[in-house]
Amino acid sequence: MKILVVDDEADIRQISCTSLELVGGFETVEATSAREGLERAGTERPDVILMDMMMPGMDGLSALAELLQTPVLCEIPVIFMTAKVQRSEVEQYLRHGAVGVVQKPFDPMTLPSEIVRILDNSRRDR
Amino acid sequence: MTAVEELLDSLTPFHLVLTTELRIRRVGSGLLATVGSALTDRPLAEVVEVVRPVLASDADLLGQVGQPLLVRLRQRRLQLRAQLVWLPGKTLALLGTPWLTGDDASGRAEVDPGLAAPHETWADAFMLHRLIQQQRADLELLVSRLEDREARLRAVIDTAVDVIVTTEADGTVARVNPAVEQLLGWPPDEIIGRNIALLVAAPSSGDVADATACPWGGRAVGAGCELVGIRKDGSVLPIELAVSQFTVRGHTYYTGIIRDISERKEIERLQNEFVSTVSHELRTPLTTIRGALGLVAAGVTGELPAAATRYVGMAIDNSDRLIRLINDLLDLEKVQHGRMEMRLSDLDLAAVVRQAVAANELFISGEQVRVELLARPAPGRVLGDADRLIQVILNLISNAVKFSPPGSPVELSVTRVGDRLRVDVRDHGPGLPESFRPRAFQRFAQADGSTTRANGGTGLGLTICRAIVEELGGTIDYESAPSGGTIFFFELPCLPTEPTEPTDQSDQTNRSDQSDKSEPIELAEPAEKAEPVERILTVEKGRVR
Repeated sequence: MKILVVDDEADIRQISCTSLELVGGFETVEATSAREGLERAGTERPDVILMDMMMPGMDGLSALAELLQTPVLCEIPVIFMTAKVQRSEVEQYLRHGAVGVVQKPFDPMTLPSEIVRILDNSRRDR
Repeated sequence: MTAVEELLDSLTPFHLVLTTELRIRRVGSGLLATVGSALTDRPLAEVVEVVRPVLASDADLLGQVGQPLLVRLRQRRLQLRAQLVWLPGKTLALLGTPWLTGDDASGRAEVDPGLAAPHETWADAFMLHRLIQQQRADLELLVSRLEDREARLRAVIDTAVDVIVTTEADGTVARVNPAVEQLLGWPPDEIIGRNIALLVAAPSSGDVADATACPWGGRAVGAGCELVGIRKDGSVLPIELAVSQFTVRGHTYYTGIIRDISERKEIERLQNEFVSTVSHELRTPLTTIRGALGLVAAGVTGELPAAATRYVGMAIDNSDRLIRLINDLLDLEKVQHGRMEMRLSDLDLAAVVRQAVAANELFISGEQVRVELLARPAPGRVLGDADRLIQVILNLISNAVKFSPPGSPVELSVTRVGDRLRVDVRDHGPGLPESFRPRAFQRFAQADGSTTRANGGTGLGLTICRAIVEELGGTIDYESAPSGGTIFFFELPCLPTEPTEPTDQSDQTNRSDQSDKSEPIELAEPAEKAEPVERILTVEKGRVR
């Protein structure tokens, strides 16, 4: 499984990718902004996008909205990885089309299984 | 002429007003005309002789108040049937009706007795007069006080910052204070007689037409609600409206207080933004710290020396604690400002407790303590927020585990107490001193005076628990267990529905995402097969047994 990690924080990108590759055994690609994330989604065609919410320029929700407007990319599931997890915020993410939310801070040892669980739930709910 | 003098003359012009020393103060018009000279200030005895009853002295006349008398005017030999009565202000009156004159050969009175009122009614008339006078005085005092009060009330209403508006039952404005011009741009004269819908609308659309369904439709009576105020220029602002209803002579009126809450809304928005920002700014670096430590501890970067493993473990424990502290502080901030988001639903409380016990398994590691749910939890439903209640129960379990001796159980039970459901979480620890009670639910309180760091807690758990339980209309407290240890418990009001026996299905309803994360666990046997102690889950040294 190929996962696109979109986060403006280099440290968090690195920890996420290390966790997903070494603990989960997944392939990862990185993007440092939402705009770059959209471009890399088009070129890499990941199986899932793990995206930060608050990023300079374009935030995660705007990126998700643009992704859903793009026919070849709209089927890629997006999981938000964010510290903004008040109930109303999480409900807003799901309402806008995210398949799940990973709360920051996360445990890198359980991040891969958490993503698998979210994707399984998402497929089951379809 | 005073009102009393008028009354006396109307009763009988043959009267004398007397001092308590029985000196004449005033002479009635009939007597004045008859006697023809001023009698004022003269002693009564010089002017009048009492014929009947026979008195030992003139002063004895005072003992005859209210009794029938026959008196004679010494100067004119005029006889009067008379009566002595008290007047207001410590004065007396001798009221008379001309009677037969003793020396008059004709035996006729010198004046027409028909001018005078019947003798028997004088006392009653005076009583009535005094009553009316007293009532008039009371009424005047009351009116004066009411006028004072109304003036003060009017001053308060006219200078109030809030708009205070009274309407008819159909919403027609009857009165409104000047604040309406300041707040909504309507001069009071222009709004009186028009419908309240011009000023207030439902928040959903701001459409004036919606207002008919809102405040003056009766739904908002007795409770405040947030609506939209409409200015004369059509712009809108957030308002809070409180409406009360009253009836005067069969007509229903409504009084509404309209308050501008723009500033409060802005503060709420800024507070929310602050909480969200703080949350993000604190958690972002912690994500890196916790993530890096987790990878190092797991050996992803290579095997660590034993000493380094211990120190990295300490760093992980403390970063986890810092994360919990941030979460608790944010929760506390929310509950203290009434901004804890509650998703209320009809809940099977026993099922919620089971979920909490199951979720607890996820967080326990290395604790040599068993968590048990006692058999046959009482059936019953409550109005609550499942996630928040699980948060409360987990907090109480976590506390109990911390203070439990190794190998001892933490026991949970659900019982019915009258119209409430009670959840107990009992430990077998050393118990809490009574002196701790006043501080038990305060922030950062510890029974032994240690810092919260000593047992890994944040010191905010019980404060948050209380806030959540109270928000749900319940109470929370603790008591010493009879055979040692402490029981923390909370009670919630039962919903008025027919209780149903708990079933396995009830375990599945309300199952949150959180419980979906759990590893396979040993679930309860059906209640009818349960042994005295139904072991839902046993955790020992972090393993499910």
